[in-house]
Amino acid sequence: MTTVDVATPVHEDLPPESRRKAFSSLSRGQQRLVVWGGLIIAWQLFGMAVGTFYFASATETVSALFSMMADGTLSPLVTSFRQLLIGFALAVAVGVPAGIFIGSSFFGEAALGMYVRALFVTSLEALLPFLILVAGSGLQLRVTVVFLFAVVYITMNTTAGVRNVDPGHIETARAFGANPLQVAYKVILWDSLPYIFAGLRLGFGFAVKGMVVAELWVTTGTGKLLVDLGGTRQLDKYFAIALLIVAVGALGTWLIRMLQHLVTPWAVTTSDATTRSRL
Amino acid sequence: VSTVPATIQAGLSRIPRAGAFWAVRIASLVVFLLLWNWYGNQPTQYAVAPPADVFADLFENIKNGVLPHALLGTLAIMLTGLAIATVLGIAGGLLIGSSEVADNTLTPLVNAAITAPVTLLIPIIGVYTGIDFWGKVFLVVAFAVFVILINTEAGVRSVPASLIETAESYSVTRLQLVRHLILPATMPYILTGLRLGVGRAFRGAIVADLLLAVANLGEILVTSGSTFNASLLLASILFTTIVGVVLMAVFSQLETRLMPWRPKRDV
Repeated sequence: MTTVDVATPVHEDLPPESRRKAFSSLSRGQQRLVVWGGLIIAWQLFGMAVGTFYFASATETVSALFSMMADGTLSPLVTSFRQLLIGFALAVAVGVPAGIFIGSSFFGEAALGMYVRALFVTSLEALLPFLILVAGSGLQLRVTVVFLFAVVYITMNTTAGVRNVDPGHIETARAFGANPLQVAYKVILWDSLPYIFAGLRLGFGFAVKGMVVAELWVTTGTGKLLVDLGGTRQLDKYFAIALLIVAVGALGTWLIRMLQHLVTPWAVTTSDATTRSRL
Repeated sequence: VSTVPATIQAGLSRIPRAGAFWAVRIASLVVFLLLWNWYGNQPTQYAVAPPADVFADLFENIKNGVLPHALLGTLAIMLTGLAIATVLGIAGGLLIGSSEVADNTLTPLVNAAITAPVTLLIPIIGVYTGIDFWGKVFLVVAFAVFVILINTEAGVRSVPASLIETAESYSVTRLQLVRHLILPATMPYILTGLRLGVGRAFRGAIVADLLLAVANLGEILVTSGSTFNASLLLASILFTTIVGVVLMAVFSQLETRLMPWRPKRDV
């Protein structure tokens, strides 16, 4: 018998098939450690081979991050993130009620649905030269772009959530004499929360995208910092800031997911919600 | 309770309801156009042109070929990038969908890449690819590849295990399995990914033409904006939106033509 037992130690002379089996028998964490570690090592070696001027290595990027934290180069990011939060908060404040209105009322869909879909299919970046005429190049523009990027997904997901509310729940509430406002607040809002949260997560990702594209467009704040660093090829600092922005986006999405675990522990994904309502 | 009266009742109530729906929708459009017209004619602002001027500019610039010509340049970038993204996305999706190891190790990276702002590449892309055609194509690929990848992956996962087991019991090779079972079974998902990818790729091409090296549709948008030609600016934004909608509709049509057994879906 030549079958390879999982406990067999891996030797270099084993056929590739069994070595692959040995790797897949590792735990998920171990596999990630190997592959991600390998990627970071490859990044490091590549960076060292071609030089900072062409591709900063992992260690250079990390040390650039710490030196920028120390000398205050990162201060534009704080301003950018504040604008991100303002724009995102506005998008939530507008998108969720709008989504509930469009999803639950025949009038809402007829009057507003098409505008949301039009925004959805528009390449929002094409609006930048127009928005700069309307909102100038300051805080207003950046908040507006973040708002527009985020609000579409929040509204559309809320609409989808409202449409997936179990009609039986609404009828029951009505039978107990709930008025339309009570139905909206006590039944529809809660039943569609898993979808709303999915929309918030998507929307936050797009809000970060909007923040970056708006600042690159008017080259202020973080955008100016990035353009300057890219132009002078300080790629260690550039990579550090880019990774930091990606990390903030991931952190925000993760925080929303944690919030969702607290608020709607019965349904963490939209498919949970649909399965539940089908039961 | 019989279902027949309910159906008739629903059918009867639908007729005036559909009428009312369109009445509200048209009224909403009219109000929008009136507001736009009122605001566009305010002498105190210069950013919004009245709708009549915008539509006149739109037709004029389509007829004299300015917008279509610019569109060709943007489309060349978009389609090249989309073709590359399709190949990479399908390959990556097949890999992650069929290998547990790849799923364990690569899926978190793909998820991170989907949420990451692709535009962060813009200030440094020139170092590697230049900022002209190939730099733009690279940006389009980055915009479109992951949505194709995750849809392909979902498709591979949807292939029933019993089919794979049957094929394996006939001792097909791995390549035959992919070629004759997994790819055809995954096709509907790939086409969905492609339809979503088209929207993303077009968006990527617009971004590249606006922010990487101003050209094509981006050039019309930028110059009309910087010369305060508000009606041409809005006309070209409208044109961009219409092209985006048409592209998605074409690929959605392709989806239903090639996969007639799939139910039609909205969005």
